[in-house]
Amino acid sequence: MVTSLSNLVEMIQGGVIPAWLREYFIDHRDEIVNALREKGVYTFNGPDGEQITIQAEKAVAA
Amino acid sequence: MLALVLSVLLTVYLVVPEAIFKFIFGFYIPTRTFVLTGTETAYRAVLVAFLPFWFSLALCWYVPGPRHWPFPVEHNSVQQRRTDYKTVASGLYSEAEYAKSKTEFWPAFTRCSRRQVRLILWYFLLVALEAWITGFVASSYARLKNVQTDSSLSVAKTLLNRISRWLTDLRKWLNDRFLSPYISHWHPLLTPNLLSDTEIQADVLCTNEVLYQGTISQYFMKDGDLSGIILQKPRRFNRALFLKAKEEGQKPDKKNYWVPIPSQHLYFFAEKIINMNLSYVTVSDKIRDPANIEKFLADSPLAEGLGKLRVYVAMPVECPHCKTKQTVHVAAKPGFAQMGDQTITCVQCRKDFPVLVPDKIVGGPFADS
Repeated sequence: MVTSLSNLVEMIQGGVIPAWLREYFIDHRDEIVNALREKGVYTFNGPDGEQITIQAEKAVAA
Repeated sequence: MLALVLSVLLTVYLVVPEAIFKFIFGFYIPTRTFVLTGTETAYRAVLVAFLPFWFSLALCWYVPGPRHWPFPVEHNSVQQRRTDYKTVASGLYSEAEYAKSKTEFWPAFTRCSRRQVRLILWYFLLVALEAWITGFVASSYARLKNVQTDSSLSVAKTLLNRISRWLTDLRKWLNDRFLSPYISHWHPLLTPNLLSDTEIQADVLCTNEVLYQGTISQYFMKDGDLSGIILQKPRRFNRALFLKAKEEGQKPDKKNYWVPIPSQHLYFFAEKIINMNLSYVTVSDKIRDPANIEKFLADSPLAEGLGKLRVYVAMPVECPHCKTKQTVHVAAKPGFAQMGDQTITCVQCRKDFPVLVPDKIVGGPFADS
């Protein structure tokens, strides 16, 4: 597949996340999965006080 | 003879300008090495040459300074110019015509040559200018893409937004249709300053089956392809110890098996790299767009068996009037770009104030507990 420059830049921009978030997901993967399976929701805080809430649609529907 | 002159003119007017364009453009962005067919070469060369050629022709015909400088021609009227070119073309086309107009041929040839050299000089200068401008636009693609309009007047804001959209479309066309074939694909992938506030973290698997991790600081190209990269803050995954721990029945945590390498700049030869996992992270630790988190989760093994994952980010904001700290909920909505100012009403003083958050506010403000 041949991609254009703007597609490539958009793809890269669409994947930009903070380093701490990437590290957090890698380190707490099992904890997040378990919480989402059991409660359907997982919340944690970023370094600047941002509160991030993840909701699993399937678990919420169940 | 005429065929020989035509091939020289083709080289000077199409092949050389394309080479000049590529050379100047290469100062801004590493160009890729490519082999084009004859038709593609002609197509690219015509695209590059079109505007500079007509502008230089207009300069040499109508603009007082460039009309005579450099290499001025005496009695340079339109009539004289046509007669000169007719005499030269006829003389080059047939020996008989040349013999007939031998006395007029050489003076006409000299005048035509002076006109051509003048035109070519202006033409090359404009091609270089074109390459400089397009190189600048292409190198600042991402920065210009994110330019925000900031105006309190709604009419001016609408107009600015329209101009900004039009410029964005023009830049997109310019980059995709015109410049993409010149740009090495490694440039957007490995240039940390392509996206503001971003650095690139790489997991590099080498031919010795060792996994390295670090931040890409430099990359090197040879003939348009990657020849090496430098990683900062590098670390190596101790797979042997990790596997041994697993064999012993333990549940080893991967993060404990990363060994820091005492090096500021670890160089990797491209031929020793099997694959690279590139992650683009914000230097300031700010969330650029909540939709990116949702996308990151959706693409990760985390989402397996859990269905679609939704992300909400509660972001702290402060009222500029009463300084009360409060939070707003921002949802990850694919398709929303960076939002401009959004206005909310303070939970304390009830005054409106603008907030700048990366996506659409879907809830709040809520008082901080």
